[in-house]
Amino acid sequence: MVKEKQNNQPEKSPAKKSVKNAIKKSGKTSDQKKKALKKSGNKKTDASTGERKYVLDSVLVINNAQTIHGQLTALINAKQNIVIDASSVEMADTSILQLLLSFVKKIHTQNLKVRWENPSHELLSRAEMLDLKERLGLAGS
Amino acid sequence: MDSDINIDMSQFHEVFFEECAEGIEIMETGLLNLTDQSDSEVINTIFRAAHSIKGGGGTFGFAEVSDFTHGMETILDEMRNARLGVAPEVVQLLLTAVDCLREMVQCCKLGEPFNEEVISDLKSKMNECAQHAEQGAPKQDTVVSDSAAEDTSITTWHISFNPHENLFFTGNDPFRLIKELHTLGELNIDVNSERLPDFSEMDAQNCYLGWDMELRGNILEEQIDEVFAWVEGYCELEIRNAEDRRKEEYDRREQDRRADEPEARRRKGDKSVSLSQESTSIRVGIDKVDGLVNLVGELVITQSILSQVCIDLGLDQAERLSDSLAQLERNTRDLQEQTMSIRMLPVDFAFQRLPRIVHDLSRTLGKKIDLKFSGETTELDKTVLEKIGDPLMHLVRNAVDHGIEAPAQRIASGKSETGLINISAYHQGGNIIIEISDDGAGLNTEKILNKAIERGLVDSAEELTDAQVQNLIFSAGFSTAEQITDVSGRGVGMDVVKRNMTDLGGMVDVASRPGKGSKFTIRLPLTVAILEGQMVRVANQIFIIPLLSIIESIQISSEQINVVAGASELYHYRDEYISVVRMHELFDIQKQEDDEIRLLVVIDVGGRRLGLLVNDVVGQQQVVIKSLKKNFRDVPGVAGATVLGNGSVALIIDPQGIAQNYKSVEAS
Repeated sequence: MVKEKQNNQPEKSPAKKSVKNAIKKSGKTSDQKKKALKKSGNKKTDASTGERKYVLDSVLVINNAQTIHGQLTALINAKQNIVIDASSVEMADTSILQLLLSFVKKIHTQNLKVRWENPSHELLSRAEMLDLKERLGLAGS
Repeated sequence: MDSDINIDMSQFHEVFFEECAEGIEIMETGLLNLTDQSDSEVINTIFRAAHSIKGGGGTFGFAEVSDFTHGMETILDEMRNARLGVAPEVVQLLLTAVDCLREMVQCCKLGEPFNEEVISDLKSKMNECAQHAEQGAPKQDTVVSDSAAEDTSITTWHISFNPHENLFFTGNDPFRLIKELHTLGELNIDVNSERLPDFSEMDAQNCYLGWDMELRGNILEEQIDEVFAWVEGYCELEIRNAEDRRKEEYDRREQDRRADEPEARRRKGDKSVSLSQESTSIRVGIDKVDGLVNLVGELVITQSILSQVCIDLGLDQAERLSDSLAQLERNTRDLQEQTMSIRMLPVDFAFQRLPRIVHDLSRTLGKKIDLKFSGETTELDKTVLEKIGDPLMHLVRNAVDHGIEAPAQRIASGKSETGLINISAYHQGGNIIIEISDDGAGLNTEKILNKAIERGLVDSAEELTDAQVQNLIFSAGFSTAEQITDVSGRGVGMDVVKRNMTDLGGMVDVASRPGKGSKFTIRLPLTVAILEGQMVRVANQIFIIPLLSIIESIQISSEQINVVAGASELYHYRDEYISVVRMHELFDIQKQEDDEIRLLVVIDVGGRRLGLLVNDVVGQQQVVIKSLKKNFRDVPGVAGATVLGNGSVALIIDPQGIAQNYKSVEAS
């Protein structure tokens, strides 16, 4: 799964907690809760760097592909430079690497940039094996 | 898109388990046929089966299965590269590993823990075996063929791999395949992302990437094929070696010349034809087939009712209507036959485990035995097929243990030292007959009779024919074995055989000649969904008696029925007295006073004969069996129900149930 957060901000931000509390009080369904949490995450912007930071979870498999696609779509719509924190990736299957490739291409067509932050050895090795390292912009990592 | 669509991998588990079972059977059969003279294709076949299980295990999250099979695969790889000879001890190790693998798959299926000790022991033995080969230790039976020596040349393979969009849905990941290619040799890879749509248009669960690869090393084409075996039908795959490329220009010209000939695409070395086009079968859940069978059954009944209504209303005189109904009946029957044939499988499926049993037992007992099959392609219903596996195993175990003599004894009797067990299957009427015969010592009737008397199964004063004595071996708890062994001798096997057969509406019989051997004959209906039945009338009710269990119907008078001990009624039928069951009393049906009961339907229930007293025999009909248990509840003596042409419901008699029910009435 992908978690989105601002630079130097803890994962469970007060903003998220307050949203959670609001949902709890309003008695919304779990789907509504998810949507509310995602929307609140997507709205965040790092004013200091102008970059949106993405944290990739450790296990990235096809089960999460649709969710990640939805979150990346929100990022594309934000039209900002992106920094992807891939330090904790322990496993990424082809479907997710393919999704990231399409995402990177899309960002580039918007004349924006994607920067990788501490990509894990596992991610680099998998991308290289599938000949995706350069295309993902991981070649210098 | 916010929706989180998860692929539930458990939905594929059942298919994986089925494919494992098939793979294990292939491995076992291959190993039993494997000798140092065997064609390399035998090893390749076993290897492919192991490889598929390994791949599936990894894909579906059964890492232990995958890991264990990897050990087997390594040994097989050493064998096919002629670094390890086909020695009997290695084959035996692999057979033991096959057993263990079967257990492991079963544990995965049931969610039970593995026997770690056995797995660990086998893994270390397999490792040791593989290491021995790798170290190039001189082995007596290591055979390095000329062709193997030729294979040491380095080959460059060009592989074009373009997955279909639905590849991910099958649980496959191209990464795993490419990783495996890396282990074979030096791999250069070039991704092709031309098909990758714009981010906003892509379906995150589809596969759009493809790869062109160059693989260099001492690699056989089969090894590459095996890597992609798991994605067969889900990709476009092209594998060509450098030699092919040199011929490419020539081939292209040839292809142009024969543009109209589809065979041109099938030239050697060109695998550009989509693998998906090669598939000639589909895997369908049995519940879907059963649903279809059930619906067709309903259709048959409706058609039958329609015909009856037509006759009742006198409309059968209208030629066009009558012709159309006849056509409908033919079409319905054809449809039913075709539908039933979907459930039919070759009896070979039930025979597959037998060579292994004979192989193992003959080794244990120091006997030499040839096992021969005939009629393996004879088809029968899947349900019946699944239930005859164990009974067949018991019969073959008994033939090996009790039937075939030790080599020395056979030679002393003037026979060949190698015994013969013959298993044949064929259709007869609406039944399948399976015969298991051996050329062993035959049944010792004297010993059987003495044991039966000792066990109280028969009275010492009773006079029995040889056939009757021989059939005593099917009695519960009967065993003549001197000591209980792992092989047989617990006296439950033959009893189980008999019960399983009668449960399926069939029967088993034995014929034996001292010194010449024994022959067990199993007679089973081809399917359990429809039944050839005899309709009988009891007062105002119609019952169906399975035709297979009827010996004959005879007209009798009430004077011919004798009352014994003021309760049981007996009829003197040929040379024996048989119990008489008054059907209207058994089913508590009001007897019509002017309706004389005059017909006795004699049935055979596992060697025991009973006479069913009915009013009339109405006719024979193929009926669709409807479960009474599913719609009402289990009724002793009733196997199910069916709907007749006039729309009324008739109960189908269960001869076995009636016999048991009657026995308990007699006892009380």
